[in-house]
Amino acid sequence: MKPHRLPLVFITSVVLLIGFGLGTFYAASLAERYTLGHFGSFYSYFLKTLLLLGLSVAIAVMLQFVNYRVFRFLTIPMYVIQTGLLVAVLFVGRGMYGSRRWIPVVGSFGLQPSEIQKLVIIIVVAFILTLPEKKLNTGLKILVVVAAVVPSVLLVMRQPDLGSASLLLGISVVMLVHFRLTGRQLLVLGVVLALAAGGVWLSLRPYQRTRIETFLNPQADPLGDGYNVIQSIVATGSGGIWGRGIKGSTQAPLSFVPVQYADFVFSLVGELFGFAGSVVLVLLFIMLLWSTFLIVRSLTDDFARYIVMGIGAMWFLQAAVNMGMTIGLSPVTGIPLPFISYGGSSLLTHVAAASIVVSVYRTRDELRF
Amino acid sequence: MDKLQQYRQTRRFLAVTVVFTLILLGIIARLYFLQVVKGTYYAGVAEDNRLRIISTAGPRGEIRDRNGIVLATDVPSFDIVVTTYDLENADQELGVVAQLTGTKLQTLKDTVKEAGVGPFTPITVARNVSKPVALKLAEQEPDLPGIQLVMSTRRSYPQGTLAAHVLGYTGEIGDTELEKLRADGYVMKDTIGKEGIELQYESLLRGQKSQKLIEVDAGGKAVKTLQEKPAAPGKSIILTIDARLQKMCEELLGSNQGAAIMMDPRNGDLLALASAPTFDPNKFISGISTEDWKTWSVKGSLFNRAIAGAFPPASTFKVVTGTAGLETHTITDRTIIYCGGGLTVGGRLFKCWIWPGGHGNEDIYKAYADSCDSYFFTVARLVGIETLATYAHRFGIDKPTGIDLPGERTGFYPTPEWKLDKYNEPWYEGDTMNMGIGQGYMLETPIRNISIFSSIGMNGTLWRPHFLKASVDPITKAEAVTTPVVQDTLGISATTLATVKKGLNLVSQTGGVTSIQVKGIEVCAKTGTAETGTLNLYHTWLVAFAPMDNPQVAVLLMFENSPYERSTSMAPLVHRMLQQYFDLYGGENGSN
Repeated sequence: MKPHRLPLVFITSVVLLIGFGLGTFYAASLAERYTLGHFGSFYSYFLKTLLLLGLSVAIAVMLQFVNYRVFRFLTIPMYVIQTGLLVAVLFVGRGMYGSRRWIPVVGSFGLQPSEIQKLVIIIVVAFILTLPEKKLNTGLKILVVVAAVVPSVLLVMRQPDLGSASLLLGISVVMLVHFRLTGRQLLVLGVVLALAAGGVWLSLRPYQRTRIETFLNPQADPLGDGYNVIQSIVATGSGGIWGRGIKGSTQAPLSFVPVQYADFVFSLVGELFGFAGSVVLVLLFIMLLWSTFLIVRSLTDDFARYIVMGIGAMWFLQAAVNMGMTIGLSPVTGIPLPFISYGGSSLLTHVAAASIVVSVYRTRDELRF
Repeated sequence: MDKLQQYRQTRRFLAVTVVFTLILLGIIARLYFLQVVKGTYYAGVAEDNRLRIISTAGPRGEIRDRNGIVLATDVPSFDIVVTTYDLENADQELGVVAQLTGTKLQTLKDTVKEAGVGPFTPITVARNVSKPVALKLAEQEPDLPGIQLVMSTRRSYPQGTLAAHVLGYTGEIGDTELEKLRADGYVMKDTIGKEGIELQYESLLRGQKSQKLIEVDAGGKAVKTLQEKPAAPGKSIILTIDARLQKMCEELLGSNQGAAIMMDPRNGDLLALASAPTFDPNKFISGISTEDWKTWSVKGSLFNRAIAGAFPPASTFKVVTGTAGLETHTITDRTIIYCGGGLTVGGRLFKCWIWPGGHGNEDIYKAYADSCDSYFFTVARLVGIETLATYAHRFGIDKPTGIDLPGERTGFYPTPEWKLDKYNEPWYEGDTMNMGIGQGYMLETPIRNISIFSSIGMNGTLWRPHFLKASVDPITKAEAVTTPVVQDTLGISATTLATVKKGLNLVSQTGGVTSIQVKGIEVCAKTGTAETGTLNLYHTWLVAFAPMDNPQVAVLLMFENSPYERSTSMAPLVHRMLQQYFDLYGGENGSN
């Protein structure tokens, strides 16, 4: 592929994903009107998403005027401010079922710091790993990465948001895998992670443990998460090859599947558009993933490479875990589907991430070619 | 990083991207299975949303006596549930249920309406239906879409009325209870402990519900079970009660009103606790007839006199008066007080019970043996109301004993301030004297009275009276044994308590009380006969513990509103309580 076509493919996949999400919400609101006789909550999610999309695009355009190299100097202040927000959310935050996840801003809109923290952590880890070897040797870099990531993970877990916390951890691990690691260093990393996992399990709240146990053994809690997953599977499966369409869909408008506008949005796609539509969505993510890989390959600046790899890892992990949960392949974690799930901070984060990737590519160092 | 390393890194990222892609292709494979292979099936399930959650109660834990005799258990029973979405003709189908169960159609409809759940959630409309009804319904069930017969359990008390006031009973959860307990997973029609041990240890006894996610056909009948979480029984409870002693106590009370308690003073284990008249807790499970309810209401059968009845302690209170006198050195065991049949104070004659006779010269031992009122009038007068009230408080008359049974009441002792406040009258010396012999305004619960005697026997230590000996995990069979708790220490000198004990021992060797004696064992006892305000009706007490020096058992028998003659005929009854205890447990600690 010619280098100048790369961002075009990348941008196309992002635009198609966003369009797919909007189309799904609009179709769901039509199905709702058909079944209930009036527009319901899906229509309001559709309108709110349109509004938030405007804001996200504005931020994405602004990011095009920022050279990514500036992030190097902003790393520490960004980290400090974001960590401050993560602390603040524990005190002023709102959320469902007693959790504290977002800081109220205007009306029903709020800021979810754990979403933005993913981008910040990607930049922080990229920054640490690319510090000059004279300043920080390889072993120390890993320790500093751990020291930078673990507090955020713990703060997010306090909210409690196990999904986002493990996502922060997962992104960091994928980035570290691409760092020069000797066998011994990988071993140390493994031990640290094992200890962390043990610590996390001990600090989990009962409902969080239940979720993991439900995944390992769905029989454990048929009324709770297990029930949700079964309803989600029924909705997805009922779509068949071509979907039940606006007039045939019942599960969505009758809200059998919980939080179908966010966590379980993939089952909405499955019911409305069937196997055909679901495969298109998965293929769009594969397209996004490969165009991200090709962009990384064309980059020569290590800092840039790590940032883009981190962003790619974030998208893949979220997409795989979210879709997997909908069809009973991964635990119920409440991780949104990038570009598709309803959620302002989520949409904003992913559009901004895409914009950073484009900006990195546009301002890449071409001297070495 | 140099170019070579970047090349390696790119290769690694390529590998990672390939793995990621394979995982996403795996998701497509799963989608193929769900939507293409099983698409028609799931479309069918989705059509009526044919998933139902059926939840049945887990068996409650058993309640057993200390020797393993079952006092409360669960037996199989049937429930009827309705899923409104599946009903084809609600009136006709519910009508059948109404007719079979003997309920009004409107009542059933109200139950369904008030359940406040969605059309797909089954609602329990009848619990514990009898076997014939269940069989008839089972026959008709295929023609009644939306109505299902579900296997369940109900409570049973195989010993009938035995220990009814201790066990209590279970019942359907009430609205206010539900409000409070919703967070613990209770729903309408759930069974919950209502009284007694059933209420006290609800959290231990309660079983965990089974949850079954089933798929139903278009007629609402179960096709298959998708997921199942089996019911888990609650913990079993072992009580400190000995069913044999409990039975005897209830027989001794007979058809009278009263209470009988047996307790191990060394740890607070309650061996028996009976209140009469009593009731059959099984009737709460099957549904109480109006007739039973009327009888029980008139006789106060549900009222646990042993812990919630407060009566004037009468002469049993003399242990407190004597202790106050000795402990303040107002009297010693050599102080002699003359009884000429009464005491004139403020121009009024306060009669000893022996009036117009007299006891003559009395020391404290003889005063206990004779239950001489003149002696304790004098002691009360000498120590004064303040001191007497202090000792009444120290013995805990106004405090709960902390027994693990709901509904314990506290007793009461008057003070000058209270009397002024209540009757707008000053406190007279006569009030102090009346209090000294346990009459007047003072009230005590039987459980407190036996606790006082236990703590005297134990040289000032009161172990909290309790029923829970252990709880048993239904799966591991592991026993969690209750550790006895010291509720109170009197802080009274050993000399004083030894003197009182010696006096109480003399009681068992005097007059009508001698028949209490157990061969080879020194018994301490005290009688009490309280006026009720009604002519020739008295509250009569007999409290005892034995052996004197290291007591193994404390017993109490109390008759409410009984003729005077009974006070003198109680000793043989209490003798039987003591005798049977020592027959059963005598060798345990070596009797003296």
